[in-house]
Amino acid sequence: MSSTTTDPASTITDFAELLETLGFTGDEFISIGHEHRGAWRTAVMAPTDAAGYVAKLPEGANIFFGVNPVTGPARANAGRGAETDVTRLAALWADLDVKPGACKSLHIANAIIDDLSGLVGTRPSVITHSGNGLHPYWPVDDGHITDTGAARALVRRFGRLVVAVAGEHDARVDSVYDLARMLRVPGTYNNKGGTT
Amino acid sequence: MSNAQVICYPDTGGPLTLAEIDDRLNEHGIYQQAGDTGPDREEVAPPSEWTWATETSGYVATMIACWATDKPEPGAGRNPWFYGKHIRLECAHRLGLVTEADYHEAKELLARRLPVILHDPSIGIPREPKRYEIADMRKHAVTVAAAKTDEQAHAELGGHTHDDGPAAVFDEPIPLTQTTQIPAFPVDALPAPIADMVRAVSESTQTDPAMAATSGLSTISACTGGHVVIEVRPGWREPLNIYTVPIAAPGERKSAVQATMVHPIFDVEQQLGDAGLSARLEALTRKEVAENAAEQSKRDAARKANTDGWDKALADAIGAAQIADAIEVPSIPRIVADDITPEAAASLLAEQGGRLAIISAEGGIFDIIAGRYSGNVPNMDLWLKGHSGDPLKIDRKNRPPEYVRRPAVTLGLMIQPDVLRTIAGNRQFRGRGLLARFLYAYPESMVGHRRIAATPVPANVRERYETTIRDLAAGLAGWLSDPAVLTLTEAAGKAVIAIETAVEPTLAGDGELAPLADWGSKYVGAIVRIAGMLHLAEHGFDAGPTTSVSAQTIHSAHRIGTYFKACAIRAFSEIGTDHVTVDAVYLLDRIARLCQDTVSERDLMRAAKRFKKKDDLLPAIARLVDHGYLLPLPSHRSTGGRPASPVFKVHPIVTEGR
Repeated sequence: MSSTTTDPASTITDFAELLETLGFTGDEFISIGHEHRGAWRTAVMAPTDAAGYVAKLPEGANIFFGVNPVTGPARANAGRGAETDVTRLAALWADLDVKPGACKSLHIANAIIDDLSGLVGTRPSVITHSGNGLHPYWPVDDGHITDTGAARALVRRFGRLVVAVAGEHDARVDSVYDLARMLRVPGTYNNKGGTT
Repeated sequence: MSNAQVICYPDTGGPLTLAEIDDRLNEHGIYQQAGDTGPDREEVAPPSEWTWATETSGYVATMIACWATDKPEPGAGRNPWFYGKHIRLECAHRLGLVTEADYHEAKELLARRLPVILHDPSIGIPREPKRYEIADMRKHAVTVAAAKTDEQAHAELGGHTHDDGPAAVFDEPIPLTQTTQIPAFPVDALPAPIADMVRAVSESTQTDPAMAATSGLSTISACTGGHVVIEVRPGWREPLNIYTVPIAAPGERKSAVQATMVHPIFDVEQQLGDAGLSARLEALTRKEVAENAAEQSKRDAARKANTDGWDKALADAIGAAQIADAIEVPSIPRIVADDITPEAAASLLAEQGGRLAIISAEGGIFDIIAGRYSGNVPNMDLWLKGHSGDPLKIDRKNRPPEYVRRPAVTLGLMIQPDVLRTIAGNRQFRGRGLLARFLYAYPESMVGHRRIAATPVPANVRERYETTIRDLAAGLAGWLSDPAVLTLTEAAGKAVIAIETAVEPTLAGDGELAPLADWGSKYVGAIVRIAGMLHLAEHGFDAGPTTSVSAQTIHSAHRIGTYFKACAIRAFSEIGTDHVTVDAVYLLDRIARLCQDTVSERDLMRAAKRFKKKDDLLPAIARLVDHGYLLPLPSHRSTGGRPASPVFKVHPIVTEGR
């Protein structure tokens, strides 16, 4: 599956560019998971192989990537990597679904991102439109993990900030703040019924 | 949305660092909480399934009532303290032990208490509530309560159920006040003549050596204060005077110990007085004669008013008055004073060149500092600057003010525990740093175990001690110019840096000195002062100022400082104890005297006369419940008439007198 879109290329970040923004390097490993016809498969690979691997997956699959690098080696169907396998906090993220009971509109989701940006002091570097909402990413410069507990706590606290800010907009957000979190891959499709 | 493409757009933000994220989260009140670093919490009881009680349980009602007055201990984390309360409230909701109305009222109560507690300087550095602080505590507490097992949720509420029947089992109660282990005073860290005397006085009076040792140090301070300073490094000098305050109950022989240790100072005062007697008499006579002559000239000039000789007579009278005024009569040397008003102390300080020791086996000086003689207006400048050595202006009635360039006061007091509690009630004593200037000591009581007809102080030990103190006091009393400056050897300088490096982290966060950071920030200075005093007691007034202080002396002073540090931790724990804890300690004592397995609120009102009304009693009961000394028993169904008084089961530890 290609990561091309119908929008002008200059305003779109493809998967490889997203990984570059998140600081993935050649000596790290990324986890990719996809769901197709009810079956869930995972693979861990070098970031340089990720875009090619995703391109070969069926267009009807829901495809996700681990936001944070995990330990190697490259492997298939051996799990996506647990929290303790995460080697670096690549970014903080939010998963802002646009639907009844979550964010009532894309406008609300964007307003939450604006507020979060003000609170953390910077805009996100990229925002993914997941087909079901928005995924803003705030990359972390020095996220190499020496203490999983400390990194886990930081991600959880950020998650609580997202919940608090969303609450001010009368919106509810999913609790998706674990180090091994997977989010949708840009350029793929959000196929109805898939896990977001 | 079906088959929509996932599209990623660049935005304008740059990367963050971990420290920036942590800072921003703290800034907005999203603090790291207990359990944040651990594995995911699995939801055991979804909040959607929690129910409300039709009547709030007695335990939960008491717990909530207690929050209206309860507050964290000084230095304890304020956010975690509130967060813990929210978790307990959510557990009460989860277990169906609170009504919806009481639950919301409790949340509002906590929201109202947060700014009050955050602004209370006796608990921590005042700050405003953060933007999301309350919202985060509330939301997160729900998650935490939902993830607890039933047992864990009950444990948050002291094991309570609505019937409080079989589950009414006591755990080990939590002590009401912090207990600190006080080490033995390191007597061998004192110079030999002092150490031997301390051991001998301790033996003869059957008291803890800490009492005589502390008194000995204040005696040395009375000799060295104002005459010598110690330079730790360029820009940091400490004067060699200290404030000490051993705390001991009545009947602990405080006066006997202090009188023995300070005795040689009075000898020196007498000697100095005798030595200056003839010069003083001469000056006094000259002054009186000059004053009489001036008076006569004044009368003569008055008689010649409006005559030809008036100008000359007036000039003669003015000249005679100036001559009389210029004659200075040396003051009677005083090193030590006892009970003295601030005005008299200030005058004496000015007369004695800025040096004065107040050595007393009573704590009455604290009443004086608090304003006993000045309309209850504390006058603390003298005592604050007398320790730090900052210049002091002394206003005097009908005379121009005097300036003391380098005041050096020694306070060697001995007080009873009750006095410490009274002192704790004076906010200015702590707020302005007076209490941070004292070295506290807790001599262990030997009452009940004292040996009768104990060995008196051997004459040779007494003679050697008194000679050491007399020589030091008399020698330094003759040093009337700027204070001598003690220096450190290179190794001693490094030793001080090592102590500073070890102490610094303990002043913040969970450090042992964090709750008494005001005292802790003067701790290394106190060690250095003690080192200077030990050095002079060891080397004498002659060789002492010309010899550098060794690393070994710094080490000895550090050992003594470690003793004072442990005592300060206990003293500030007692000083910082809030009135509810004090009431709870009192109530527990009254309950112990009742020797009952269960007590009713009415029993307690009758037994604890200190409480004049029920509202005064309830916070103390709540504190005892909170700490596990009392367990509320279920109230009986109302049958009309006067409502039954709440009944509490008493922890066996109380009735067993443990």
